[in-house]
Amino acid sequence: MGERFDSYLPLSSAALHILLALAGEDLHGYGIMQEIARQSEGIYKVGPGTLYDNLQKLIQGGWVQELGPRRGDSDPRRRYYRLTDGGRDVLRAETARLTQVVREARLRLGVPNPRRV
Amino acid sequence: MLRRLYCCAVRLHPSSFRRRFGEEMLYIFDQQRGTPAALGVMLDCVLSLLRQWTSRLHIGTELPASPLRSPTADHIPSFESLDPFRPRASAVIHGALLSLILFYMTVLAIPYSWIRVLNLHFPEITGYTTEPLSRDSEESSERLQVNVIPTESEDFQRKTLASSSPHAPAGPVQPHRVVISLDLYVGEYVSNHPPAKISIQIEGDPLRGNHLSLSLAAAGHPSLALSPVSPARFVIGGLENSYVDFTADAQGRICRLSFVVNGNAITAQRQ
Repeated sequence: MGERFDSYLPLSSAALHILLALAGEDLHGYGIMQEIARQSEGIYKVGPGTLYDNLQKLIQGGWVQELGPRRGDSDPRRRYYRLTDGGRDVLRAETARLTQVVREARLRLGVPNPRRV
Repeated sequence: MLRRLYCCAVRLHPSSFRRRFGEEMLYIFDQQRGTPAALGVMLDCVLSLLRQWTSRLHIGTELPASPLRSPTADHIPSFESLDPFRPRASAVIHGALLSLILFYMTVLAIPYSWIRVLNLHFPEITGYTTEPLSRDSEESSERLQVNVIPTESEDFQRKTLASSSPHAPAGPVQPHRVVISLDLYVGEYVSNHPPAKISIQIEGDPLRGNHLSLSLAAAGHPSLALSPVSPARFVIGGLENSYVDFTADAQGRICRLSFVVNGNAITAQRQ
């Protein structure tokens, strides 16, 4: 599976965070922005321009699917987005890569791995 | 105001992007609380605008391979764009119109450069050209046309020594063309302090045409060629910071000259 996505890795920070935000549930654009800010504890924020730049690429890559507006939503301008299976695979591959990076960094820096509770 | 600017920035995005995400971008802008947050979104939109127009490659998609033309029969390769993107005709027209407007605005703005705005006056003449009169070949031997950028102190000299061309442009620092009669300057000038006799004559030159020359009475001094920068001032060829200023009396007759070499002046009265 990993070999399929090697040419797309590493993902940009924005793309990674968008995929990560959509991994939990379908979200509209503003919801993705808020979820990214929540996940990074406010350290990383994306603006709408950056968000839709990356969403456009992710949709064209087939990793995110556009669902359109929901009925009964408070604002009809909001469109929802969903992570596709392909997008989930890319996210897994990127997570595995990052895990390897973190493991290597801990080894080099002499930081003990966190104990599993 | 900021929302209008934001709308403009969104509208400047490529049409496909704008149609798909434009309304959502506006929705997110409307959710921002406070000017700093709105400014941040605005800046992000401008950066997105630059990215959209400069980067046409997308993650996960490859542009269709462009069929490279093989060299033609005469072995001259042909060239074509690898990018399938083609601007719309209306975009090209708008771009051309915008370019023309910018060009004309630049041309119109040139007269209002900082020199004009600050009303700076440069006492030195910045450039001049001389050329013999094309008409009236007999008179041209003793007259020159001069393009002059006058200074204020030279204004009255210009009026008395030369006749202005009827088509000369008006304005304090506009160069204008005047006709100088060399005969008016010819003569002997005598200085008492220091004692010296200066002779101004007309000399012919196959390359430059007729010009004035200055010579000192003392033996061994070569004659010096004079080039007019204005009716009242002639610079001395081959000598830096050297010139001759002519002064006219109330009747317009040259009555005095000042021969200046490196700041040292000799004033001589006409005989």
